[in-house]
Amino acid sequence: MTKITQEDLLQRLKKEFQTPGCEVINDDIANDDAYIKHIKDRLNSVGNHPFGSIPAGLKAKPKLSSEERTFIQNAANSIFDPTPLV
Amino acid sequence: MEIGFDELKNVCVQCADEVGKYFKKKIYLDSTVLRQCYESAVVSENFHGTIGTVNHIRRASHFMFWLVKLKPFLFSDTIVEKVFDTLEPTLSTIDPTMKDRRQAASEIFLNEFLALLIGKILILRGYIDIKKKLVRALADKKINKADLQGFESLLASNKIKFQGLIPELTDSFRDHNYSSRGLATMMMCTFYTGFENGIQSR
Repeated sequence: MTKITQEDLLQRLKKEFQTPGCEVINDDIANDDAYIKHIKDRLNSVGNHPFGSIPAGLKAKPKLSSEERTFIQNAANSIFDPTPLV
Repeated sequence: MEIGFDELKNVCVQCADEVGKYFKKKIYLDSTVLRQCYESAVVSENFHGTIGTVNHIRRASHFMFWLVKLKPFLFSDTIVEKVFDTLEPTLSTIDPTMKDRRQAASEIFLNEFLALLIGKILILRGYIDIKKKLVRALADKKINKADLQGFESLLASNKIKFQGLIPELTDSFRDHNYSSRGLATMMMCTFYTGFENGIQSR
């Protein structure tokens, strides 16, 4: 007859009752094509939202006028120039 | 997006497994929520538009954002856990760290913590690829040794910067507004070495 000590029993309980670590759940649903399509469709139809279609205006690189460029240049110089402003 | 869903899931499982073992708790990863994170990141990373390419830092950051937002990880809270809690005083005599670790688990922000860990791993994995390319470029005499040394030194200091940001970021994720793009920009500021979008001599 095998003698089980209290410590053995507790170790066994610890192992049986709780296994620390990670367990993946719902993996079958996550890999279901219909589910993936549902998510993609939803993401594509969120409307006026950052994740919706990006307007052509946003896709084009912003172009600054020469006046705006000069303003930015001067502002940057005045902020970072160590000499006092006149 | 270069990283596939299964690859992302593997990184998530490995990280959650380590964290679960540390805290002596079981962590569930809901794969359906992770799928939403993945698909959302694929869409949101493109919101950077045409200003710059989507490099590996941005990709990882968008994953991080959606992991924090949709929260695919949860600590087990089943009846088994409750039974376990009642046994804890006795079990703690076998493993003295158990009580403290399980207590700590109830206080951490699990998804925020894991998102940062996973993000860091994805970003550093990207740099392993970049380093391989740099070593190859050095052998082909396309760059010089100082370029490689500069890269390694920057990467080492960037890791320290990120480590310092973790408490700030976890609190910020929990309590403040933030965006995927904002997070990506912050990660770019933290990790950028200049070699993300191509290998060329400085």
